[in-house]
Amino acid sequence: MHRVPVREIMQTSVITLTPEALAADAAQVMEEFGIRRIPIVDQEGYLVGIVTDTDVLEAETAESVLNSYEPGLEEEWLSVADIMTREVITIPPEATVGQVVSIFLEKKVGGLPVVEPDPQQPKRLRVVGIVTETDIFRLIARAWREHEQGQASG
Amino acid sequence: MKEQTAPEQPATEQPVPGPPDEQKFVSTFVQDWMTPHPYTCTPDTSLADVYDVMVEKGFRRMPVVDEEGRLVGIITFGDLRQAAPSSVTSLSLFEINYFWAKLTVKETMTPNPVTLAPDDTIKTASQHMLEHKISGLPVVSGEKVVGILTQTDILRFLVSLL
Repeated sequence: MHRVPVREIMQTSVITLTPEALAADAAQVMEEFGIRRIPIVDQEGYLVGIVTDTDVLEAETAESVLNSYEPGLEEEWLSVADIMTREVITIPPEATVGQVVSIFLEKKVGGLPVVEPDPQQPKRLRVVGIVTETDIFRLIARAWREHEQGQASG
Repeated sequence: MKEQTAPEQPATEQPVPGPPDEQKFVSTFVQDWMTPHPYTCTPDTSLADVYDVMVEKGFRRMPVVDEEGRLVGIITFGDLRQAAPSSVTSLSLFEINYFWAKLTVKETMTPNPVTLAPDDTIKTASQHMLEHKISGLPVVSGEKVVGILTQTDILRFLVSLL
C-alpha cells in the first residue's frame, strides 16, 4: 500500500487563490468547501505560497488585528499575501504514499500540494493535485473493504 | 474496431491481497498509540485561552470535562475558526478583543462526542474517523478521558509497519 504513487489517490480538483485575495476570502472558502489549506498561485497559475486554517485564525484573532492597526489609517484588510507561507513543502505525482506519510509526520503537516515543474521553467511549479491525511485514510479503508469483500465472496 | 469485453473473474480460490499487516490493524489497540493524559478544558474556559494552548502545543482538538473530570464535549481548531470574529466585521478593535476574550467553550463545543475505548482496535478507530469525518477522538474509560487518538497517531503506526 505504501508503494502506491500519490497521483492515484490525490484530489485533482484543487481550490486555489491568488495573493491579492483577502484573508477573509480564504476563511470563507475554507468554511464553504470544508478544507484546511489553500495553495496560492500567481496570475500564470504557478505556486507562490500556501495558506492554512492556522494562518487564517492567527490573522483573525484580536492580537494580529490590533498589531496591524494604526490610528488614523483606514482599516487595512489583510490579504492572503500577508499571511501565507512562501516556502511550500510539495511533492511530485510519482512520490509514494509511504514517502508522503513520512513527510506528514516529519514536517507536522496534514496535506501537501502535488506539483509538476513547468517544462520550460523548472523553478515554476504547477499544482496538479493535493493529498491529505484523509486521502491516505480512505486508501486504507478501501483496502479493508476490498479485502473483506474478497473474503466474503470466497 | 471490435470492443474488447472484460475478462471473466476466475472462479478459483485465490487469496485476495489485502492491506499489508492487516493482522496488526486488528491486534493493535488504541491505548498503544494514543496520547495519554491529554490537556483538557472546562465549559467555562474562554476561547482565547483554548486558542493559546492549541497554538502553543500544536493541538487541533481538546476534550471538555466537568468538575468530576467526565467528558462533556470536544472543541476543535475548526470550531475556534468559525467562532472567531472576522476582520471584516464592523466591530471596533476594542469590541473584537472583548468579544474574543468573552466567548467560552460551552457555546462552541460539540457535546456528547464520539469516543473510543482504550481496548478498541486501530481498525475500529480508523473506521470511526472515516465514518464521522473527524481526525481525532477522545479515549474514554468509565466516563473519564484517558487519552486522545488522532489520524496522525494512526499514520505513525502505519509507518512503524513499513
